[in-house]
Amino acid sequence: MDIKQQIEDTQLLAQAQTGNKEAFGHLYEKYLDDIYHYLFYRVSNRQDAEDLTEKVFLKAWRALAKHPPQQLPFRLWIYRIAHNTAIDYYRTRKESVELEQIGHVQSEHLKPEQIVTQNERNQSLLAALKGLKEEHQEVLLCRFVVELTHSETAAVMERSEGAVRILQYRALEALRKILLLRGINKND
Amino acid sequence: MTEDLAQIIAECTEAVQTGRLTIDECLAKYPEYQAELTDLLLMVTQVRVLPRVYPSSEFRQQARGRLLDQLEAESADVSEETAAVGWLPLLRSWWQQNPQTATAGAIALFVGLFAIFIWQGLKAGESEGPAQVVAEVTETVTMAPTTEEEGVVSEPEEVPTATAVPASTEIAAAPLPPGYENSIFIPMLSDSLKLDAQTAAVEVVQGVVEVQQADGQWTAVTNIASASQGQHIRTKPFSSATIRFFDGSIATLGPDSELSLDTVDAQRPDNGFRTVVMTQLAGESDHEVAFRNDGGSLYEVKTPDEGSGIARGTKFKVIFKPGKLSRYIVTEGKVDVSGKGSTVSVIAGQVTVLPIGVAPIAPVYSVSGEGEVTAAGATWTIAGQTFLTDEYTIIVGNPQVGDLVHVDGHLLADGSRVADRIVLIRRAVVNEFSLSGEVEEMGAAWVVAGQTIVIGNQTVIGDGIAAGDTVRVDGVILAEGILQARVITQLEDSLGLPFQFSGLAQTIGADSWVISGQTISMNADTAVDGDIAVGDVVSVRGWILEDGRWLATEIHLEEETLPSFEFTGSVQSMAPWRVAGVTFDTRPWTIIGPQISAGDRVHVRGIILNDGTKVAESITLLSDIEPNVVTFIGVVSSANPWVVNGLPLMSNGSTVVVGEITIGLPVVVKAQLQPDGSWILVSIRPLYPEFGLGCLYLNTPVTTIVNNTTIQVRHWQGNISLDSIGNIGINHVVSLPLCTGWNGTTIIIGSGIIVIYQPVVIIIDDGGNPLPPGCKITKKGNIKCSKKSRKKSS
Repeated sequence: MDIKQQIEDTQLLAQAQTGNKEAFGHLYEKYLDDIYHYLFYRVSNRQDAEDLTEKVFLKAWRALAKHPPQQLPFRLWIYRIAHNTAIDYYRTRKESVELEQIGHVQSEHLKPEQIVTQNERNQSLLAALKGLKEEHQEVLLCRFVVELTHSETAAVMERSEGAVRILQYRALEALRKILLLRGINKND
Repeated sequence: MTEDLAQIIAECTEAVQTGRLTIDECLAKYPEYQAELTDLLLMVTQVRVLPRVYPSSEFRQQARGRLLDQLEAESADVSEETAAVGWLPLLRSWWQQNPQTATAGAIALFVGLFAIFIWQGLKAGESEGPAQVVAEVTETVTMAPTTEEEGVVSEPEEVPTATAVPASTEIAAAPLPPGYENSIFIPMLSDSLKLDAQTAAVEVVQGVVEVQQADGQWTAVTNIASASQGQHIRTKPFSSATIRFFDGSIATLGPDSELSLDTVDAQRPDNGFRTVVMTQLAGESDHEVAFRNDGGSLYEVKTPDEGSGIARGTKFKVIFKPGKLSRYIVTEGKVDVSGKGSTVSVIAGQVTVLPIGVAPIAPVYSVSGEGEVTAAGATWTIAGQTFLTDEYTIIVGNPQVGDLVHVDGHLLADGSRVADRIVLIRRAVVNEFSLSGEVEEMGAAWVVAGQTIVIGNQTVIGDGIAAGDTVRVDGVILAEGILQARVITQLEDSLGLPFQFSGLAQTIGADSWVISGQTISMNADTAVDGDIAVGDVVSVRGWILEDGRWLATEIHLEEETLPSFEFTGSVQSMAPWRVAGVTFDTRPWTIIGPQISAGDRVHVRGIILNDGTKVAESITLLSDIEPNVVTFIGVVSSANPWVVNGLPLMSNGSTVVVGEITIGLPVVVKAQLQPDGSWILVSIRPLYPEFGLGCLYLNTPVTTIVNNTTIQVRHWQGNISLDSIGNIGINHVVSLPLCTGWNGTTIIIGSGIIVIYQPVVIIIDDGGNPLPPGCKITKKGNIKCSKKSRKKSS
């Protein structure tokens, strides 16, 4: 994120902390899609992702007064809230949730049959991701779906950067094993 | 080894993400780990291409309302002064406490104003598409008791679920803090507007909106104003306004439209019946009516030709063409439409027309969409589907074959389609090109970068260009490859990044104007054409300066049927698109250059629809504009050797061919001009590979459930496959997306089918008695219950 965006966030945050709902609304509009995107891949269905997204912003508003982000940029702070919200979701949810279709691939470079294949591959990959341990899923989502850096991922997951690197490697190894077991041909 | 590999993976993934290294370069750097790295980096690549997912627009709207309600409720503990919705008390307090950051705060607020405009625009500017799900599917729905009132047909009401209730109703229903009961939350830089049941809030979405005062004078609305019974509200071209009522209902007035508020008594449920009656005097309006089932509330939209539409909890559109017809189009719920002593019930997915002096025609199911015109006349072919026309068909913008249009129509019993309205969206893609280079010769024809450029009568040439200057030429490719300039702009010594657009003159000042929401600065060199007044549509051209100001070099009256815009700037966001502070929509047919991301400088061209919405035709990276490189759109007439628009293009080892290119396919070509006049093909790709000829949405009832994944509908032949029918049932009205590719093949996008209306189902209880005690079925098929039983039921 560039400096200008960070400054804008800081200023909006400062206003929101004084109770300015409008300023908070701008932050909401700015990060709604990102947080939903992240939560969708954490929980794999739209309805729960929507519910959790609402919860995240409400929690953020409430936390502004009591536990405001100190040195963390708002963007990472809200991701951290989303991360913790997802953890709570899994703690309280007993039954498994069916994976939802993640929609059609949009690409001007692929033929229709290639699009169908890519869609199927995406679904298989999603199923494989759901087979990972929670912290493995988390690090892969943060790093490669949300595209946070190692240090940003460490801030969101509240771990050291070194721990994130090791976790990332282990997560990729685990994912590779699951995909091999499911017989997904890496050369497709 | 694990630690080493973990560090290497971390280094490689971060390097690839930031573009510092490619995967191959990383593998080459660590040959001893090549096997493991290859597998793991491949895994990373696969995860990274998982598609981006977005929340639904329904969620986006409703969640915003719920969040605001919650924030309001939680702010109730704050003191009265700080609990007020107005900005000014908070800002004053903040300003006093933070004097040193006051300036920075002012800048942030300015930025916030733009974002507010966009936030409001999200509601008004959403692209058309199928209606949202009216209600979650339930197995059975209890029949709500109704009364039969004279002159108004009462039908059994659907019991709404949370998703059926318009967002505005949710906002109105939330408890308000003390002292706040008569306020409405309007996120604008002003004190809150005090409203009551007899007052509506008129808010400018864009353009020029006016309210008529008691003395008959029209006053322009600045952001927001109140209006009450007896007042008229009107909009200019490219303008729109929302009118919010105290009960939460919302009317949105389209461009060039006028409404009169005949009766305004929008009581909330706890305070009595809602009575809102208005007359659509011209143009069109959209209505979101807060649901009420109290047997007495009324929301009515009349038209001067004695038409009338009464709604109880619905979304619908009213179009009035003076001297011609009224049209009522329902997208959610139901509206009773009356005229000449006759009444019809129009459900979601249906439309009815009242020609002047005639009773409403029996409701028919509607169809709408966008696509290319491949035939025009008595019968049109749009998006690959034929449409008949009749004497009521309205055609806007004089579209021709090859143009892109939006069509609204209705379906006949035999499945054929009739166009009610055809609106031009963009002209046919012509053989356009852009090239930059030094001016070598000037005259009837110029030579730029060694290429002969023909100057036409309409060519616009920047001031002061001389031989030796570096210019950018935009134009069209005529037969046999002749380049004709449309615009020649000097690039050297430019003041900034060029822009041009058309819009509505909203304010006219000595040093600055506001044109369609954009502030335009003027100086002594700005050429202003003729007598331009507020409300005129103008075309403006100039430079976006380093300090962000838009400085006009010329402003003149716009004569184009379809005004356009064009400018260059940095990408600020891509969802929604915002470049150089200007927000615009995209469509499936928008050409978006690959690998554009936030912060990149891009060139944007587009059109302005009649409601003021800007829609981009193309968004391309500025770096794509290189010397002697021409980008144009044309039709392939030969594939090997390449010939596009009669122009032979030589390919070499670096030529990039994207996708499958066939004869007759419209393509985007990038070619490099050689000193000898020949063209080297740099890249070629299909123009709209997925959009094809276009897509339509058919609203039609389900006639047959074939099995768990297959249905049949009234207005489409054959079976329709879905992933799962879910709870779709017989007589449910569904919206079917129907898309046609370039080869003419039409497919129904099964995953895009949604239910927009479900008829009510009666519960039969164990005793076999379908009716609650005290209720009976009337001759019209309604249920009428005594007051005692109604109380029990509710």
